[in-house]
Amino acid sequence: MNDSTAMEKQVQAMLSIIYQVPVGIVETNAAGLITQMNPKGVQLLMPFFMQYDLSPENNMLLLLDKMLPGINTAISSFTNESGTIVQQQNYQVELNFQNRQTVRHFFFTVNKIDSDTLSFMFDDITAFYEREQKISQALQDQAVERSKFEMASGILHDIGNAVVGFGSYLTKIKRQISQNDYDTLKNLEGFFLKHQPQLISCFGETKAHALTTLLQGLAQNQKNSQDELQKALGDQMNIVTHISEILTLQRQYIKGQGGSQRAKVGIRDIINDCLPMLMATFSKKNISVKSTLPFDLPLITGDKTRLMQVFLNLLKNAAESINTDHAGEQKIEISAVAHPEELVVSIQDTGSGIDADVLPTLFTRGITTKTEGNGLGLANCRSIIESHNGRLALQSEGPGKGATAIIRFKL
Amino acid sequence: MNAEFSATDLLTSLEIADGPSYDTLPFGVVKMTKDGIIVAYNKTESEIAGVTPGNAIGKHFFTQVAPCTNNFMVAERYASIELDEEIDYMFTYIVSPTKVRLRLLKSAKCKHQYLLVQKS
Repeated sequence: MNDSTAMEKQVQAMLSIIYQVPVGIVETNAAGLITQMNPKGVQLLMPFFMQYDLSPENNMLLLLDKMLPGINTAISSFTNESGTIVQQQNYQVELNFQNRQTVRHFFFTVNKIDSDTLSFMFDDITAFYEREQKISQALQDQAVERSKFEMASGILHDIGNAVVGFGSYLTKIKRQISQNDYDTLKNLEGFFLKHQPQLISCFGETKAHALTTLLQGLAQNQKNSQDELQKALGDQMNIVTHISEILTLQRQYIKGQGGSQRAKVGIRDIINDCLPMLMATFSKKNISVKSTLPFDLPLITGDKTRLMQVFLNLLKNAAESINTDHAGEQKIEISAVAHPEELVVSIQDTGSGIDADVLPTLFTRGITTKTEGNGLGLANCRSIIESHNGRLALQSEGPGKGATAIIRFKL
Repeated sequence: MNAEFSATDLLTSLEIADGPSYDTLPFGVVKMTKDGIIVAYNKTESEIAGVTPGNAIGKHFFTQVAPCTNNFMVAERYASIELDEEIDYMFTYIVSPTKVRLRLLKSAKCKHQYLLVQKS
């Protein structure tokens, strides 16, 4: 191999390296005239040269004057013989070319090599910048979510304490009314009966009998009032116990928020936990709920909090679709069947049904048939179910014919 | 081969001719597959860019041989099915900026796509 061939090989090898340098490098004289430039530099700056119609000038300072004038100011106010003028500074710049308008983010480093040489190093960091922004936004959203759950948890805790206090108060009242005057009145009645002859001699027969009868009536009234009060208090205590159970469940599920926790979960348990939370809604609308979930349904791996969100949402939708003015029995039927490869859960309602035209759009974010909905419920439900290797579908034979939500989990 | 840089029927002529015949043309010719892999790289192009044909053929033009063109002004234009555009651009000979005029050529009727380079 002769010297020129060896030199040529070296040049070509060097070119391969220069061509792969991942940042733009430009060298200019003091007036900004470009003396050296790597291909990445051309790739990044050519659109801007074209944008500002500067191509023939081939002058970096003229370009920066239009593109990033702050850098030119820094260069002109730098009085040292050599040194770093701009160190890894990030800049935002608008790129408008051939009807494409975008905002790009660049970093620039500018060095003064000597009195007549400037070097510029730069890169388009838009993708990196946008990724950083997304991460930052996600962290912010996460913090907001966490604080919401902390707040909700705090509120539930306070309500829980108030409910416990109310329950204790009811217990106290119940205890107090059990120590009432009924027994005393009965004793007095017994005393009067025992001493009936003496009473007759004092008041006469008619009055003595009337007095005893009055006493018997008073005792019976007292007994009736006591029974009614006991019953009412019992009902109140049952309601308080029910509220406490719901609060405990809510708190338990809130604990699981803010992170995905996958474990073996039972769909039957999750649905059974949902039902008490919606019992007031069902009862208000006189909806009968029939749940036929076999005990031996296979467990699935999932996040019970997220799955509970889904089933609460679907059951709530089913209840909301039911019009109370509608004649006939209104009901929601929940059933599940385990096949060898999948677990199928159905929630069928006798509600208003869904128009065939609307059906395909219901899982699109922002689409809702409710007057106060935001169209996120079903889209979120589907995305949660899909993250559990499942599928969620809605079926309806049309308006007025009810609807069925079908959830399939792969086993 | 003999042809003008802006000739209207140049794409057909280039497609018919073979690689060595491009060496007689006074402008640079880069013949690529539609994936951007160089199949011919003529002498003039080699002189403008400083890359020998041996170091160019078989490589991806926009990312390995001329990354200066890897932007929406040049590389992304080849996403079009039909393309015949001329633009003023800049190449680097080693690292010396060289003003050039580019002609971007592509057609559904041809197997290859071309980049023609003329020194301004």
